[in-house]
Amino acid sequence: MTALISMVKPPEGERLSPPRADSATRSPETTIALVVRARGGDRSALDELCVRYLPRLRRWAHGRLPSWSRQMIDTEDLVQETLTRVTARIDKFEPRHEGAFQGYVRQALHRRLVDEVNRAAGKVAESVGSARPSSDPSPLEQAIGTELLERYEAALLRVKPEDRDAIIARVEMDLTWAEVAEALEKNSSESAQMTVKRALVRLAREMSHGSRA
Amino acid sequence: MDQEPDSLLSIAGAVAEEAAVSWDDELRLADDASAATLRGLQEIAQILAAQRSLQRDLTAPPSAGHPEVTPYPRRAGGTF
Repeated sequence: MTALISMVKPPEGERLSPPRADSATRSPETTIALVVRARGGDRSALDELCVRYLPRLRRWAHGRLPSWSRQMIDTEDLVQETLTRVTARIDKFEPRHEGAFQGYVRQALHRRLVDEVNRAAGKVAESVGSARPSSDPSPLEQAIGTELLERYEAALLRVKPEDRDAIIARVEMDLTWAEVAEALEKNSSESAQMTVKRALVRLAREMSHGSRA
Repeated sequence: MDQEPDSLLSIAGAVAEEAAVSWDDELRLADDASAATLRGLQEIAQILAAQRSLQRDLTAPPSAGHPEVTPYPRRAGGTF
């Protein structure tokens, strides 16, 4: 693993901070400024992006891996590798606002999770000579159902990027309203709340369309 | 700017705050156009609650094994 990874990985046995304790939107330098610096090849900016986003992405990914795959895939490694890959190709990222990077990385991490689970399933099937061991869902799928989670992900892809960023910031990453306002570049927490409410209604409508399909 | 019904925005606000929503009552009062969106909001609330439960387990003191999450009844109605 690279120096970047060793820098952002917490010491052995260290527990994660509470969900709202990290300061992805409170640091003096904005995410967009960091992305601009990172595009220019500034390694310290890449490291800072990882430090900011790693804890909440790790929390997000937690519970999204099926139990059978956990022997083969480590959530923490997966998150770190995804962050490293995204920042390495950061020139493809167009920052709409502060929260856009978070949404961008979250989508990349989701794709990576799906790929890794499929890859792990192939290895298991190869070793035991049977079909993919997909009957054991992730804890999140166990809680809400695979079909619902797939419909949610599909609907999330269909809503406007601004709506998606708002939903990811509040619903998935558990930012405070003040942090959401900063991430979405809104004037106030109230404005951020209204943005998230509208985004949720539109997402719900998209999900209901998916339900009929 | 899209205009969304105030009733749906209010419920979306409750979902975002993880506040209790009496889904049965809301669905009973909703017209056909809003009912499907309401069900979508109810599903989002279920996803959010399950996700929060898993995240809380991650930040809780260490315990043996992987956290278990109690499945939510799908579209069970009633206060969520």
